[in-house]
Amino acid sequence: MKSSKILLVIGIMIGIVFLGSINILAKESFTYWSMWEKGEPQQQVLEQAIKDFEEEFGVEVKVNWVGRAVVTALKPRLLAGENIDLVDQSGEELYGALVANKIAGKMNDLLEMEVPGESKQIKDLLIEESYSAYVRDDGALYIIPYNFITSAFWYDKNLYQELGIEPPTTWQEFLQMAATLKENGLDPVAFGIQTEVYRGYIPYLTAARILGAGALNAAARDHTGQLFRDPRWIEVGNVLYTFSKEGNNLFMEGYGSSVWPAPQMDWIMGLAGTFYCGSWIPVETKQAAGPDFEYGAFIFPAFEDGEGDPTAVETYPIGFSILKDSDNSDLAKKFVAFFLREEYAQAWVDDTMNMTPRIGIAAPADLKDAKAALDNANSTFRLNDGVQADYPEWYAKVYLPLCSKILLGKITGEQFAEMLSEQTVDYWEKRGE
Amino acid sequence: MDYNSQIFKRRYKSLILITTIPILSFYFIFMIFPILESLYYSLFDWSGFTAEMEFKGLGNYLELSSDNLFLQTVWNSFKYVGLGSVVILGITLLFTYAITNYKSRKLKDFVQMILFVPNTISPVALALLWSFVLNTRWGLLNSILKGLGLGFLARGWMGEDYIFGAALSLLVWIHVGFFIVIYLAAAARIPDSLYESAKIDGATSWKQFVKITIPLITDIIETSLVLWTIFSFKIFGYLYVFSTGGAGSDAPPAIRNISVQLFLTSFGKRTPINRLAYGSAMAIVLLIMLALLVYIIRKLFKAEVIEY
Repeated sequence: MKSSKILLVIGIMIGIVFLGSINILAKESFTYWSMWEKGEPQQQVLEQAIKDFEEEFGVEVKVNWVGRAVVTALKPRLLAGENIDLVDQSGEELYGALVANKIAGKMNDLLEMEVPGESKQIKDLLIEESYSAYVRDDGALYIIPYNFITSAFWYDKNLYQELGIEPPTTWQEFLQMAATLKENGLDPVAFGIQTEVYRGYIPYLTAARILGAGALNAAARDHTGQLFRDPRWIEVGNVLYTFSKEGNNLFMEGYGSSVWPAPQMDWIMGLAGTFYCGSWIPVETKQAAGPDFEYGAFIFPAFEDGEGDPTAVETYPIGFSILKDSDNSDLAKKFVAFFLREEYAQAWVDDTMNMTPRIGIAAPADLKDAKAALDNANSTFRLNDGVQADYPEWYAKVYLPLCSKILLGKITGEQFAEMLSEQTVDYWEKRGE
Repeated sequence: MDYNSQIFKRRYKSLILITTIPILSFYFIFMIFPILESLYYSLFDWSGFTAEMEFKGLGNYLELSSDNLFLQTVWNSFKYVGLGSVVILGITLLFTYAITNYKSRKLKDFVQMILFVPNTISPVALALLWSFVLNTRWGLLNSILKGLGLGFLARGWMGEDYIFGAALSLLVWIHVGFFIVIYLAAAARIPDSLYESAKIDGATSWKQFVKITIPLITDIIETSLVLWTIFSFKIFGYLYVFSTGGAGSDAPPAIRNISVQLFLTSFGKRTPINRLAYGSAMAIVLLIMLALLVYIIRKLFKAEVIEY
């Protein structure tokens, strides 16, 4: 009798363990590698969403907070055969690494999905301009954005009001603004040439305004170099030369040797009137700016006879990509849709001081002008017109060095166009293409 | 125990085999095999993201021979070796001379400790700190120069004309302390009797240093030159971070050595180049260059060894 009771207890215990094991084994999961690091406000918003998602759907999210080098870290793990379902990074890095190497899965079907708990499809909830520049010629989309970044000239509204300066919309007005700033003892544009992201901005934006979005990208892939022979590239070069110390000297003193974070600190301390940067700059400079600093932003000026859309703005989204060979793509997609819920989009704005691509959610106060520029834009273009992601070696070996030369005033506009053409031909020849 | 017995010899050989095989296996798996693997990959066109590889024979090596950016990093690496050797050797010897002549033991230890401190700090922190010191507008160096009335010497140290020197100065600052510790340890093993004889003969402390200390630490000087050569080609963290502008930039070409270029080519950073096979070809070139340089240095010093 006694032994049969013991056997019964053991049997029950084994049963419990067995059933528990089945439950654990049965729990669905997917793997998410993130560009955010533990403790960052962005990570905290995502972590809360993951927790809610796990509770609501009983799905385990195996998350790895890798940090900005997430794409680099991915490489050996994918080669080792590890299954990773979901990754987030900027569109440029995702396209440059995952899409270029054909390991990203198409996300078009996600646009048709409904956000859980909301009876609207994702395509109706997202600002189309936040991802439209990333739709390929064949219609394929490989990113769903959750953070919208753009770039602009940033300035202190109070300072401009004090000096009686209106934000310029044309190149002539821009030159007038620069003259007024100089008269008041300020350098017109804070700038540091050693930081690549700063160096690339003004040349590609000038080209986008004068020749139109996509012109730089097309010229970079033109193996004959003929597209750079277009005389309007000389015009682009001339504008860049005007910025240089040999031209109208529009940049801050010592820009040839100024390294991050010096340019933005010089600007925030009132040594320069404007600073061209991404919409993350208020977050980076807020503490140093002080309470009297009111952030304003205006887009790159338009040129007379310029063929580019004068309202167009840069779109530099951060978003999710799902890997093509993902074992759990359906779960990953479900989470992507879940994270686009209004409550997380609002938390993104409130907690991280960034913009969300979701329609109907106001931008943080410091980004109001940048958001207005996006709302007014008839079109968008990718950072560096996409050449950094699409032709990274050309960007590093041809484009950036020539941008340095022209912005330092070491070559003329004509030489700039000529060298772009010659070096592009040489680059593709060396690549054997 | 009969050390000449056949049994002992057999057991001794077995012991050697048993203890050596694991170490050799470890060395082969983690050192030789990756080199052979890199050599294999260098013959392909491969991003490293998937298993798909396209054979291109010596194509990567041919491309390297006309890749101006790569050639610039090779030249930079040689400049780090050449200029760095002269500056580090000079400063290290001067400090070794000064410290060996300190009477106070405490002062000796204190100076050594101060010089060695940079070796104990994170490369990222040091590189950022140095770039702040050299900042054009509000950097410490230009401020000191202006404060001393030497404002005409203030420069844009991080600009393309001076940035290589700025990076080299960072590396020198960090490594001098390391080499001084080695030189002092070597100098300490020289018998006092040699110095005492020299003193009796009327030799000054400088003459003693030149005629006794330097010749008797030649083997250590050789080792330090070999180490510096390897550092110059392989050093990564300091150059990767120095002047990169946070997340917004890759290290400027003017300061990159082969290792930094290899990494940026293989894994991308902000600019997603991702050519792992091409980077492998760079690694093989790096290995060959280092082997040759180390061989040359060892040959040059071979005749100089003095025993006592």
